[in-house]
Amino acid sequence: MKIPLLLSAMFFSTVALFGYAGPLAATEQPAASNAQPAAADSPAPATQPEPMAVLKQMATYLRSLERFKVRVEKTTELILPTDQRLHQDQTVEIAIQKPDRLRADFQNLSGGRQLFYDGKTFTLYTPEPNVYASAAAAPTIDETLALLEDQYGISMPIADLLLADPQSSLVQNLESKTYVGQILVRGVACHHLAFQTPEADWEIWIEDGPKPLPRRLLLTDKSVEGSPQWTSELSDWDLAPQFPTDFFTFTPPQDAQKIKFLEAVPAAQSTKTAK
Amino acid sequence: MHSSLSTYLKRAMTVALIVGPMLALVSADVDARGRGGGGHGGVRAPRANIGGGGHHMNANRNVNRNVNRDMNRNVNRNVNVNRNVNVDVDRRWGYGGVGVGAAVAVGTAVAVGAIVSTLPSNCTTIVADGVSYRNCGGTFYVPSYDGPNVVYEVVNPPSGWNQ
Repeated sequence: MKIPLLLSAMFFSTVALFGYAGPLAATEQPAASNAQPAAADSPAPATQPEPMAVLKQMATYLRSLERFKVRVEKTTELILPTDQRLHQDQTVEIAIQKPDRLRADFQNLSGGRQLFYDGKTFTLYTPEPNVYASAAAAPTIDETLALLEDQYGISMPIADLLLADPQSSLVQNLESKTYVGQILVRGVACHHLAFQTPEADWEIWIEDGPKPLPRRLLLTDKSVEGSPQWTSELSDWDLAPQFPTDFFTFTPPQDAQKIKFLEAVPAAQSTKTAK
Repeated sequence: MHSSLSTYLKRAMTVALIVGPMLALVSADVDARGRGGGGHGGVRAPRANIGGGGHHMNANRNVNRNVNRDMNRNVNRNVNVNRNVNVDVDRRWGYGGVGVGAAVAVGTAVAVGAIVSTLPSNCTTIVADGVSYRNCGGTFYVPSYDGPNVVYEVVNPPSGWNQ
């Protein structure tokens, strides 16, 4: 008589420990609930949220925003040749005005750097040592993000979420999808989702409520030896920012020097090669 | 001036001037090339984004890029036992006891085409033909962006410069 009681007490304290309001790890496959079928008249929600539906809600909501600002704090795990793991921090403030304005302020202790995209060109500016470079951009944010990554080696954290259809890049080659439960992330009630692809396990925490914003992303890259991770915390969402007219346009400060990208676009190079 | 081949050759010839903490290399790796592709014997970092990057990117392009860059970096390491080539701009060194030492310039006879991430301390800026040079004890550098980071390429003195 006592043992089942003890067991169920343990079960519930575990649930309490994890802080999940909903059932634990309710995956597509039937949850391992056979352990306690009779024990609990558990206050389970009437319907179990479907992970893809929650993700899609977020994607639709992000797409509906005409403009926004968000702060991204990313921690990237690095594995040294000695197998020591280190964690590197990066802070970026991203401002978007659809369909063709983007600005990113990368903050650091030596002046940071800024990326401007005004629909025609993009500019990277580094206040210390006061240099900048510009190049032709693509007509949309999506294409420009791809251009930056492909041609210039400039990665934008959370690029997946800035796309016109964030869902599309997030759900390629999925092997599993899980609605983990609900949990508090930095004071915000969130849905916790987990996905697997052959190369990566990733999780996302999406605000529960009328504004289904992503609050945290985590990725484990299984394709790299040691499976390093990164986590991005998304905070300070501003969904009605007032951008000054020239907010997305770079105006060179006094004495700023224009330099080149080492790896210029091939087209630009060939014109220069012709002597 | 540059074909992409010569750019790569230059990268391959890169000689580090700076003896610094291994961490410096680490950081630049993530910042500029953080789209996965560990496994070349260096620092391993996860890909930068869940979808691997931009919406329109296909896997092949991505892979090719990584191969090129990593190959060059391997060459760098072979040339340079001190292994530190890039210094990340997002980080200041020497806090928390993690860093291994301050950067020390070694500055003699640097090959034209070498790319470094930090200049020696004795540099002056001159502008010739609209190009901004750093003259560091008679060695001339031109800044440019490698990914999001500013690096310096060793060049010949501007024409008309009298040693």
